[in-house]
Amino acid sequence: MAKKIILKFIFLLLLLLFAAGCTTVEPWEREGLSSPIMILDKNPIEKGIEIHHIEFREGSAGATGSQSGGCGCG
Amino acid sequence: MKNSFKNYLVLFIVIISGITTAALAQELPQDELQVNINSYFDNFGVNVIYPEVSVQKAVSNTTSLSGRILTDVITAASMKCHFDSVYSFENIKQGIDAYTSASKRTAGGADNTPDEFRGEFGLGLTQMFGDVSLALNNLYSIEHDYSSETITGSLAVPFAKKNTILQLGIVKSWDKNFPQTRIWTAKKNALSSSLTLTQILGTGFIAQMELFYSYLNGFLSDPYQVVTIYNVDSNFVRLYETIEPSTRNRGAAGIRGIYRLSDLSSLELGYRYYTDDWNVKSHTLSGKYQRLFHNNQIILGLSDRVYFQTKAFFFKDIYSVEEPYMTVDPKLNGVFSNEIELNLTMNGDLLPMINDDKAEMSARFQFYIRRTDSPDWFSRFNILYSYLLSIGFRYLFN
Repeated sequence: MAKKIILKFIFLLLLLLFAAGCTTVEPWEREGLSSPIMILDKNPIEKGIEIHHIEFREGSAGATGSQSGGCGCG
Repeated sequence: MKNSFKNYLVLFIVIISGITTAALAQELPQDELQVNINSYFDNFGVNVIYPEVSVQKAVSNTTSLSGRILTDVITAASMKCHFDSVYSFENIKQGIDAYTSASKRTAGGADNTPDEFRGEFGLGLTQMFGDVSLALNNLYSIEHDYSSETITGSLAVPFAKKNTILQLGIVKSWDKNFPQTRIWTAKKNALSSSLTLTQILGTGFIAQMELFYSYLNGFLSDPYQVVTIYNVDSNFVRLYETIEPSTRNRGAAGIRGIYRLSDLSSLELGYRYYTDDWNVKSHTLSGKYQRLFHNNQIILGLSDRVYFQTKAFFFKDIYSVEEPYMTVDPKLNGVFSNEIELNLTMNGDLLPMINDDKAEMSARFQFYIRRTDSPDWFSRFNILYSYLLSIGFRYLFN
């Protein structure tokens, strides 16, 4: 029970953290984010192959992330 | 567990719906051609080569189409074994490899030629509706004893001047299993959903959070694996098929962030928790360091992934009596694994004969090691180690 409460608390905290950051960076301030090294999963096809390898050898799945533009444009 | 995840999803959506600011336009994927040649080798004697070609092309300002072809070429001659004594049905093909289901050497297989082929074909559509993008994909995979059809849908909605992207994904798949050692066809269906939030938290920091839920039903076992029951008291050894539950609820939550260390380097850190109603729970930790070289035309990356997993409630190293559920699948055993990856991406401007900055070459090397709590049912090894090598070519049309 205590574990569930802690998990919920962490979950809420993270949500607030995400929400708090919504308008902090203007589009013209994102030069540093447009670099290719700031993109999560720059190549989704390579990522798919990696996930295929892992899921064939381990018992878990999901929540492995999705691509994001370095500029935050998804 | 299922209800708990539903509660989280509802809570998540309620909070996110409160974030209302002007959004800028999303963009279509880049027009590109990509060719990858991937290979896999492990100490269990399995070798796989799989080339892949994909293309993405916009057909209007708001619509883009994609196509994908992948082929697995599997050689696993050293794993050849026989289970003729386990299955004695009539009119079935026997002499099948346990891991790849390819023909064994005495039934047409060989050590130096491919034993099995799998083809995968995909078509995709990305459509913009103002600021919102909708992506639909259809994948079809076929091999001699298995087929799978998958439809995926993804909706991405930007908020807060693109500081926030909310993405909802749905995946539905229909699989058919028609093993070479049986006379029946079994079905497996899966429905998965994910909710991803990507958030810019500063001029050098992006974070991403994802919730995942999946429900599977149907034939979830591996028809080529064999359970050995050894009873010491009555001194007998018998071989049985694996029996796994016919449904599985799976949930996972992950968070990761990428931080700009300097103009030339970044660090990505991530954590994922997974749980399901087979009592498999896992923790995954990952880290990736990337650095730019040669006027930003070369990217060198080094990453590490550490994984811990508990075993399924019905997994046993040794079964002494017949039980309702029995499995020897190493994926359902207690697992510790580590994967190290080194990758290099080079702009085509640096490549001899190509000299085109729209081209990109990449190379990846991965070393993966997995230790299970008890020896593998077939090889009797506790440790699997594998090498993955990939070479890719990418060309941007615009």
